[in-house]
Amino acid sequence: MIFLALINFSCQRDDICPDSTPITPLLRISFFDIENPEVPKPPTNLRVKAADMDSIFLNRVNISEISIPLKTDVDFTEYDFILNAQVITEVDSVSNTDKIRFTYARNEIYINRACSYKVNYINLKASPQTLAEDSDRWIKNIVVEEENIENETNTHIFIYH
Amino acid sequence: MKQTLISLFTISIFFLFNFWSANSQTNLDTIQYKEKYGLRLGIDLSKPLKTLLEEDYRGLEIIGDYRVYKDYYLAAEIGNEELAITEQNISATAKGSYIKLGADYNAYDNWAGMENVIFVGMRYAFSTFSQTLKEYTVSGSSQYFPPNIIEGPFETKGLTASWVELVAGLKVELLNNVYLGANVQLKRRITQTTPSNFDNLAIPGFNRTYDESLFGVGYSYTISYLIPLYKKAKN
Repeated sequence: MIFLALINFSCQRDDICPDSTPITPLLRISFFDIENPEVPKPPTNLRVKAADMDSIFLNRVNISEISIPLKTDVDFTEYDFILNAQVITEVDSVSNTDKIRFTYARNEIYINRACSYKVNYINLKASPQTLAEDSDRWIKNIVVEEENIENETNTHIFIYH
Repeated sequence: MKQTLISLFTISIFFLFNFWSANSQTNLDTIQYKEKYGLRLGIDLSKPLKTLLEEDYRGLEIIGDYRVYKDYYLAAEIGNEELAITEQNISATAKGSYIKLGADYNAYDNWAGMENVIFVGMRYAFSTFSQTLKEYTVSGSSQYFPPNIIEGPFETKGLTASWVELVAGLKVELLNNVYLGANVQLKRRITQTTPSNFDNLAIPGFNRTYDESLFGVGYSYTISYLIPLYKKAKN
């Protein structure tokens, strides 16, 4: 009987990482109105892409809160936040690109055999990068609300525009 | 002449047969079946077989038991193993030696002259080993960036684990003093030291571990030879 129970038990799958297990958290960003800092303000047709990636992470969204991944193999990630993104991605006069460089230290933490390791980010900093052609920044202020990114329950960064 | 020879031969055969059968008759009536006591030594056949068949396994286990009293045996296993664990996001190997000490009870009531064993037993086991993290992929909820695969090996030496085992199996005397056996083992871990910021995915002698569980399982196919030391009457 014990051994029968055991065979059954040993066939249980513990090789699939369940969705409920916290893994590497995303960076949560909320957008607020610079004129009225208490009020969430979605950027218009926001496109988000990593500066060194060809593919787009978010395209022409109109939401006041986004969650983006940070790189787990290096201590920084640069993102382009493109306001008024056009459908055609070629250079145009309407869209406005602001680049933000996120820097952090990484702390790798073992979870279990199915989920492997996750990364928690510590000492997060966000600095706007000046683009040569950019005279008109749409992002007016960046505030790091949480320096350590260990979960996705709280917003880590407030962006005022 | 020929006649007398044939009759002599027939008579002698008859007598011989008669004598032999009479002899065996008396034996059956008076024989005291004696059972062999001694040291039985052997190996776990499954481990060298797996060493040949599986690329990332290597192992050998020597088994032994000593009949102490009637149906009671002192039993021990000693072995060395290298076990590989390959999961979707992580792979590791465990390498080391182990010893298991305990006792078996033969629950089988043999027919006269047979000495087979159907046993249950207990062991205390101890293993000293190293755990090597070979490769892992950092888990993230977004697939936007290419997967971050980190290659080892990162080895942690000097780890230990101890556990108890319940064993059940049989040993059948195939040839004189040669036994073929099979058994299954249920293991429950008592102590273990783990690498920092990692876990023991396998332990030599214990086999693979399970997350959130202290239990493990195992099996053996054994071949062993009984070195008879003395005989003692059954009962």
